Amino acid sequence: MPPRELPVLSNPLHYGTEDADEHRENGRVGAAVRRPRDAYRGIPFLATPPWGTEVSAYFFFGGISSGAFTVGSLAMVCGQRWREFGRIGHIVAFGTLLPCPILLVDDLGRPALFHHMLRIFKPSSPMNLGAWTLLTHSGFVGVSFVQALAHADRLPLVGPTVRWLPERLVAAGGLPSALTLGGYTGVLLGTTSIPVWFTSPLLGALFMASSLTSGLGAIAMAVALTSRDSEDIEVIRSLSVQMGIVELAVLEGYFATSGKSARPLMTGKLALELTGAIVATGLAIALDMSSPREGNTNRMLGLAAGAATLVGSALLRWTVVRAGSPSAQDRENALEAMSPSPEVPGWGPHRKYPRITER
Amino acid sequence: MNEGMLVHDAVEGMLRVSPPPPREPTGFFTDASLCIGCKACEVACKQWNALPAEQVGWTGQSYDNTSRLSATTWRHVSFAEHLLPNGDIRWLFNSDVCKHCSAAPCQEACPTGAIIRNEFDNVYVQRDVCNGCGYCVVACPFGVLGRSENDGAAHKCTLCYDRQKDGLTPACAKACPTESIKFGPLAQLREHARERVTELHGQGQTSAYLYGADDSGEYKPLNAFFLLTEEPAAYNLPAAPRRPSASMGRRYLLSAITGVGLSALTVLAFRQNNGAR
Repeated sequence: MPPRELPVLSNPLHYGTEDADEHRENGRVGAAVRRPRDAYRGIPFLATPPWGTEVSAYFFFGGISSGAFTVGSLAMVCGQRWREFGRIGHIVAFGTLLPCPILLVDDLGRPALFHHMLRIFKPSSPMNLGAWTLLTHSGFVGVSFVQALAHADRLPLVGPTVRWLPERLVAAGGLPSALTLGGYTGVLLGTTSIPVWFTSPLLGALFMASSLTSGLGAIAMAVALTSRDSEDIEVIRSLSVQMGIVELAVLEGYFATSGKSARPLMTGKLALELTGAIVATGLAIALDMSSPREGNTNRMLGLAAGAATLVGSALLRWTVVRAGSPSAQDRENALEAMSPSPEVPGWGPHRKYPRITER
Repeated sequence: MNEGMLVHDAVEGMLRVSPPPPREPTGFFTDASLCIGCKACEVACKQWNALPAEQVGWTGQSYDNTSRLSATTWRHVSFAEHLLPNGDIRWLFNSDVCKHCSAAPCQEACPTGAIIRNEFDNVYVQRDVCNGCGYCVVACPFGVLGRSENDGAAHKCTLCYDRQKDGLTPACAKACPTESIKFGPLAQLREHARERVTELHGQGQTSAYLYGADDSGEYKPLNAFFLLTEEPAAYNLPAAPRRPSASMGRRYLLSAITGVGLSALTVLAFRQNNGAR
């Protein structure tokens, strides 16, 4: 028979009743506990992250923009043959960058003061560095987008004015900010006190990998929809297989280094959604590895794989950001994640204080 | 709010004025062994800082009806009932507050520079600068800060900056009837705290220790520290808070390695297929 659910007796008038006797047997009288550390059982000491859907969505779109710009620019630098491909990457980077500022501003408690992010330059704060990175990245993406349009002769007036600037220079120059944008979001989450985010040092690496795979996935979709060149698609498909495998490996590393702190991601709805992310990424790899059969061109496979990659990336950001709340509310895990270690001895009776006698 | 005000607000926060000259660093020493759980500090804090009431009612676990610090609760008396082996019940009280960490994760995280160290070396949120990003809320290992539903900005204990500027004691310390909350110059407070521990040990209270009075490896001392008699978890405090920024470099490095590695894979893929189409 399962133990009876006892009402919490916080009123001393209840002492001496049968319930109180049973509480006493269980080590509790009223709300009293035998172990002092249990007194705040269930009441978290960490604040619940105030971040919601906008932040996950920003991480997702920002990641695609970063990855698409990086892959496109690297292609462009690799030779004449990849120029057109690079331009597609830059156009994708532009399109996916558009929602980012809106999402970022909307997420703020005081959106009218969003520009205060740029009031100072403070690279020691990942969020401040991120704001400057996004601004820099926007500049490069904007210029490369205009260049791509100008090349296609879509801009009769602006075209000649941007053509003097070599495309490859803009592509290479924008790489540092694009790569920073891809990874800083994970570093930002890691540089907090929320156990599911800070315990593993690999969240920045995971988001970086996910940014590049999703950027490549978005390009794959754009190429599959616009280009007739099946050779390009074959190159993208084999590259996405490699990137997808790296991403899954980093995710595995994240779990291995998180220990019990990753528990919020392994329970309930979040576990289901994270499984969805892994399945989608795995599916993308499988689609990219399979060879086209009758009625199944590699363009269709590339398109499907790209879409699966994007679904996987979106679910990954969503679950990791959401996991912050249950993680902050898991008091026992938070206490454990902040328990004494040689680097951080902490404060408490466990420490042999030299304080009394040596003074 | 009219448009003129909006413009005024938008511009005012961007301005940076030169800070006042530094004064003697101040802090709190909260002595849990003297706390009687009267919650006068909570009330005085709410009253002086005009903070709205939050939850009214018991937590269901004890006579604690605040349960935690938040954007509108800057002092919280932790109220724990502890069952002794002989069946007696003992109460453990402690008036929790912002720790005004000497290397504060919230201040390090703040992207706008809204969180500063003021001339008293207290950690202070400039209300007109904060844009409510919420990063300090997740950076604090003690869950001190909250983002207010009322104005969208982050709030916490100011260590009664306004009162200090006028030479007054912070409201909570002023109201404390047992002098469990002591306010003063940090050097004096630390000296006094050590003497108090020695005194208690001499009286047989050997479990007394100081929480946050000294370095804990990467975590620097707290400018609002405590004398406790049970393990930190009994007061809902972490035994060894981590300083988030301590591992930031490693995180960036691992991220960069991944980015550069995948970029190399990309270049390799395009180079290999650089031939004629």
